[in-house]
Amino acid sequence: MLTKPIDELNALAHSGLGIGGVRVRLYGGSDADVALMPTIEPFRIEANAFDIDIQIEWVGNIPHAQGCQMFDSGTTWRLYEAEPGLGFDVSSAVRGPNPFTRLLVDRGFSSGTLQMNEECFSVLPSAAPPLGYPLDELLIMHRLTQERAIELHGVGIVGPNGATNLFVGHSGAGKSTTARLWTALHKVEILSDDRIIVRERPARELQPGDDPRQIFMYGTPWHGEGCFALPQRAPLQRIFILEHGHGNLFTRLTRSQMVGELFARAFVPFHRHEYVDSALSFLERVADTVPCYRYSFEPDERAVERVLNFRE
Amino acid sequence: MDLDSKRTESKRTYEPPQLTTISLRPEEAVLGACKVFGHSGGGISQLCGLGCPNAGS
Repeated sequence: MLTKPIDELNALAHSGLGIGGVRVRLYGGSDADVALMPTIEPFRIEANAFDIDIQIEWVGNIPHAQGCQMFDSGTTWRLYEAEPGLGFDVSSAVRGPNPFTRLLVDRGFSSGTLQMNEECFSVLPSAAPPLGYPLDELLIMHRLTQERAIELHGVGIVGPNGATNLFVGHSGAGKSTTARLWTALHKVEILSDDRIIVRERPARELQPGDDPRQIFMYGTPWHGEGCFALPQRAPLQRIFILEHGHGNLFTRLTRSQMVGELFARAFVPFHRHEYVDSALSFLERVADTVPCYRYSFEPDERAVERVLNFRE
Repeated sequence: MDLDSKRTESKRTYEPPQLTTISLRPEEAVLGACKVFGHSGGGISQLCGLGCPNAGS
């Protein structure tokens, strides 16, 4: 379901962003309300239709949620049941005991309200735009469960010959090292050095003759140490599970191994089984289409050349 | 292409059931902490000179 035309929203200001094929519109009472984080600015889009509409609303205070708690991240955010579906509360000791921001969103992740706590921001004013980390990533991550898509912990590289490789790995597996080696040796495009969205393209991005089942990888603004973040996509040809080792060795993974290994390196809302089911189903589709290898590599230039010359 | 060869092409190789242990990293999968401060997740960092959007957390 697409969002309403902007003139029906009675909004004084609005802006749009597109991440991983998901288009989000923010609307509110001022330009400051709908400003984008500097890291998200490259992902700004102009569009007539959006997938998600978020109204920015300033409220005097945000009391602690009364609804049934569904998930506690143990860090800065909590999730609970709330009208019109779910509520995400973000807190910080610096900003006081109450949540400083709350995202109320429907269960289809198509519309919602982002409440900002005036009391919290009067104590410690912030010039930061309302939609920031982690809510921006949480919103997209949850929305991906409604589409054939998933967010993976990885670095996506479009190589000098146009070949596209996705290197997936936990923290410390070598994603930043891989990005650094490739950029030092070749003219490449790094879609992100930490978070890649893998998906089938939305119908609106398809041209006549395109295969709608073809898997693409999309850059995101949530980058790693190298600060690589491009608002671009590329067809995904190969996936490598990174691990430090000796000899730059490839091991082809079976379908079930691939699904398991990718799931372990995915950002999936674990609090509802439907979302987990959606993630696993999509990973099976990826496994049927894209070859995946475990890559035990040594962090030097030979690791790059090995991938470039690798043919199964 | 005849029907038999089509059927052969679409047939997936049998993969016997197997039990594999996959290590999850919940501390990475749950967003909310900034890796600049020694936690995982939230790639945006002060290293980029943009300030941390996850202020105070």
